[in-house]
Amino acid sequence: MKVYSIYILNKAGGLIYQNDVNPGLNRLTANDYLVLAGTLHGVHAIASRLTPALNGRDTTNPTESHSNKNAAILSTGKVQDANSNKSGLQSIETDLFNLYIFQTLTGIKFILVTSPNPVVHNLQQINRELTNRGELSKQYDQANEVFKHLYIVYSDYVMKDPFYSLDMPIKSSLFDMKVKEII
Amino acid sequence: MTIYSFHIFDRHCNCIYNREYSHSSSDNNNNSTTVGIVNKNNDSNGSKLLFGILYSLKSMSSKLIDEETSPIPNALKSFTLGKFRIHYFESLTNLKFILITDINIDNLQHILWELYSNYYIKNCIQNSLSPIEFKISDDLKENELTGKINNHNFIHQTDQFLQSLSVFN
Repeated sequence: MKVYSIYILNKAGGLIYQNDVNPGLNRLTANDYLVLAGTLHGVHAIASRLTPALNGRDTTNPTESHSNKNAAILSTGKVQDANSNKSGLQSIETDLFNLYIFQTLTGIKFILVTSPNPVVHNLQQINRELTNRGELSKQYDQANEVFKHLYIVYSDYVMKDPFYSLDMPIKSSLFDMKVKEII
Repeated sequence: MTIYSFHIFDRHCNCIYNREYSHSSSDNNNNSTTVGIVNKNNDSNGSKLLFGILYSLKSMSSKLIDEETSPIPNALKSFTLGKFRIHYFESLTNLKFILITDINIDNLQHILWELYSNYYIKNCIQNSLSPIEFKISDDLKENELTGKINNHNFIHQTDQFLQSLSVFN
């Protein structure tokens, strides 16, 4: 998986950070990137309207989920998964790139554009292994790892920067450097 | 591994076919072709939202790739919403074929192609009784049935085809 670009959107859908790590994508004008970010934000919001039935399904057995939650907190030390993107748009696959969206609890979206996955023909694969999860879900997990590191770097080098004002474009060379280290 | 529903949108952005499969166990002993609903939610908000998402994502995916570097235009293949994956195929005539499935099904491009080339073309295009355009003009608003694929053969054969797939259940 080769990362083409990283975008960070604030909670209102504005593009606050953009880094084209590897060439591979079309270069757009600054305005087009803002439009792109706004579109993704809007689509994400629409998408969560399309899947309302899912949100209720997790709470069918409250006692069990509570004990599971407690066990999860004890083992990881975290109350919630950092990724709150449960019902919205998560990934897009096209011929020439894949795009992944990670949303933090505070509504900031990290977007990763990567190289496309090799084509898998699902039908043959299932006959061999019924329990096998899809190749794309594995890729999503892989992208999620990158997101976690990005989020840590974001918290450390952007949020702790005293000169950074919230929801404004990120112009920190230190953050740039750390992002390059992750990729 | 499940296929939840199958949509076709025409080039006027109307949902001309909508087939939702229900997978509850009580339905299984009935005649399998009648399980689920056909053309009931074409004008629902769900279909419109789905089309809106598709439209924006499609334009985005073509915008991000430079047309000169790639010989073929970049096409959207699928995307995930929550626990669903939505597979997308567009014909040259701008007909959009959509399958909504479980998140673990990776690639259904060839299935969508099959649905288009074998079933849609055979039963709707080569059928002289089937309308070429499914668009409802404004004065025809009350006669909504012209705007949908009600071709029995098409419905029957696509059902059979999709239900015969190993990913269906």
